[in-house]
Amino acid sequence: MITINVLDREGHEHAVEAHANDRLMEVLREFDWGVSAICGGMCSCATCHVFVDENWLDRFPQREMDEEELLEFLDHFQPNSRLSCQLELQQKHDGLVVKLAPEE
Amino acid sequence: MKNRIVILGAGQAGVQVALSLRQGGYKGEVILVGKEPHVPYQRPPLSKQVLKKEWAAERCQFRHIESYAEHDIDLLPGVSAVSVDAVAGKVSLDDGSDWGYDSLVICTGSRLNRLSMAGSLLPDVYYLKTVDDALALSHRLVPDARLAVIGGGYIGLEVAAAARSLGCEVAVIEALDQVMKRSALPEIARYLHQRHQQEGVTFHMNRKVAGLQGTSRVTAVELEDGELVPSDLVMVGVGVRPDLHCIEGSGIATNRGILVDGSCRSSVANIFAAGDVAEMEHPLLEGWHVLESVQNAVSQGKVAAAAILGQEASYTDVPWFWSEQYDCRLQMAGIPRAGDQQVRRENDETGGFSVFTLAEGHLHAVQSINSPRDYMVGRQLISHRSEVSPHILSDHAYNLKELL
Repeated sequence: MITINVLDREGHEHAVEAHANDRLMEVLREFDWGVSAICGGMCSCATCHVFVDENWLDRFPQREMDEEELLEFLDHFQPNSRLSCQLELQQKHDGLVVKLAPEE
Repeated sequence: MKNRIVILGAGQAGVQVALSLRQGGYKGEVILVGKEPHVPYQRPPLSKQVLKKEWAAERCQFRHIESYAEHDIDLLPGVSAVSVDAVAGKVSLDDGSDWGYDSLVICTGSRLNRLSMAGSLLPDVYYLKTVDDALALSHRLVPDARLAVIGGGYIGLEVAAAARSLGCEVAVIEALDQVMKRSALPEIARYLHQRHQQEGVTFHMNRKVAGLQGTSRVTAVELEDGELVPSDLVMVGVGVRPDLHCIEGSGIATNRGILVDGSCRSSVANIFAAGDVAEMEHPLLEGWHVLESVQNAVSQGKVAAAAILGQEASYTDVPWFWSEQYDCRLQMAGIPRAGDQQVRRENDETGGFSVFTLAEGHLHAVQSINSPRDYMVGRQLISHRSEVSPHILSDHAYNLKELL
């Protein structure tokens, strides 16, 4: 079990539990304040957009081309933008800090 | 008595309505009636990850089962509605119970079109709609099994791709002259058709099925001209139609689906419809549409919930769809219109391409293969009804970001 610290769109902080090998999207879609993840994790819709805290960014593999192309055209794109369906959690992500991007 | 909303159907639209009602502050009872005896789940991975045995079926659930109780949503799994009495304001379920409602939301989705011909009831004939269907079919997709796919639409081609990746021999039989003809543009369809051929799928185009051969097991699919396609199993993907079964005789106006306005209201007060079962005049499209897609189910589900809560709500989202076959991600937004100009744009970085369709400077649709950026831009241009020149769209040196 690891703990993820999430700042939602209203500015509320949540500490949520996750398992290693979960994808971050699958953790976040369980909450009403979470992500909608309409395509279910196929990297097709960009509705699971999060900002990963700068200190944690390099603990995930870099964006693949398809994720990059979806993200770069979002209104709220930032250098630390990620699609949470592409982020697989491991023990080393215990304490991860992310912020949910505004809905497009 | 407490206020009560009954939702018929616990698929993508029904679950969305239930959750949106709670998120919108609704305090009355929410009854969510699901035909299948499962925790509600999403269907798109069934024909992809589940069929390929990459995902366990549980991974498709929208939410954990506890989530329904936490939201005070009464989930009734394994039950379906048999009739709606719009005058009395109650529905009857097949477990013998009756439920009065203040508002009713019909999210019954679609029913499969089934084959009705010699051999169509043999045990090796599969359809793909539910998780049980997917698991049963997946079990049969073993190396060297000979699979005949009847219908070269999305489901048929996704199944063909999954089956090839599992080592099956695959033949696709399509009655028309193009795969995915109902919604894919010709260039896109041609590309995917060729991709399947490269993967070793054989095609029987422009051919109708006469019957299935075999006594206790399927041995072959017989085409109308007498040709036999030897097969161990058959997967039928010949479309769906809105599931209107439970509203027969209710007085709710239907055409192909349940006719709804931009707030998902049917012709009868306090009865709404959302998702694959609804037929709506979309503000961005021409005419009335039944849109069989996840995005539409989610968008209409939200709109229906808002309308019930008395909030201003109307559906204006650009319809979008996607498919995955081998290493090809197909993403589509909008609906092409007859007579549209079609413009192709290459993506040098991914090797993919897109086709845009437009008329008089207005984009109606974009369909992309491995080119998410074109799709994302197209979706926004359609939504904003922006003017755009075909020359810019086909100029792959031009950065489409400039258009936004």
